[in-house]
Amino acid sequence: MPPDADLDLRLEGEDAAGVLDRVHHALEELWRTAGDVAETDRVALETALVEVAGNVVRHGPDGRWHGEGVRLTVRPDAVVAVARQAGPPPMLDLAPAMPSADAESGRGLAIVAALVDVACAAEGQGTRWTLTRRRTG
Amino acid sequence: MEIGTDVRGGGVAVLRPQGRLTMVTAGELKSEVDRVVDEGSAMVVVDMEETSFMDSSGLGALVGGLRRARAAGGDLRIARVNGQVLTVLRLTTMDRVLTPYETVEDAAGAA
Repeated sequence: MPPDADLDLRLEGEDAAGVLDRVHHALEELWRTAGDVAETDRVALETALVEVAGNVVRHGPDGRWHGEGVRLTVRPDAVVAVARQAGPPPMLDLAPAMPSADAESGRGLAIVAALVDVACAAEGQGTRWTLTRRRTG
Repeated sequence: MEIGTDVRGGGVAVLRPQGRLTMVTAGELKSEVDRVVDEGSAMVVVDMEETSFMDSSGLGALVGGLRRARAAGGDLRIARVNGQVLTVLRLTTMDRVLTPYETVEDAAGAA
């Protein structure tokens, strides 16, 4: 079955501000094209993807995105973001415990795990992140 | 990001961050909280009506601001959050610490 909508986002060389700006705008466009994705699912994918994209840039060698970018797909059963970055998968716990209330950092991947199914795997010389949000409506 | 700041009497300051509160902009909010607390407003209300999106770094800035305000004998409270911000607060259970108020006046006046 073909997807309802999809969109490719090239991010090579973008800094954090550029990456997040383009992710937000691409999702706005995707939701306009797809039309019927429920608010909770839109919020879930956007929130999770911004965390992952921020992580990629923050932990990169020079504060910029290296690698292909992000592909967004709306399917009848799910909304999916596949992010491709250069280099091997980072050593990360993809389902960390939520930090205590006074922590100022460390919540990003816990938020991701709570919102979407997340996988991070080597793909050739790079890394592929797959975020899948099962549609609730 | 644009942050409108309204210093009121009685040590209250209302901050209005506009746009997306993310890893790109979180430092600006934290700096502004530090500045108003340093200048004598230890009761900080962050009016989020025009904050369209918040990530974990944005939440971290609020937590940092809360600690700073409490260390000065005050508090930091948030008001008028949208659905996405509320989602992040609930998922992290930080809504127990940063309870969203309906209005700025409720937040400023809450004991």
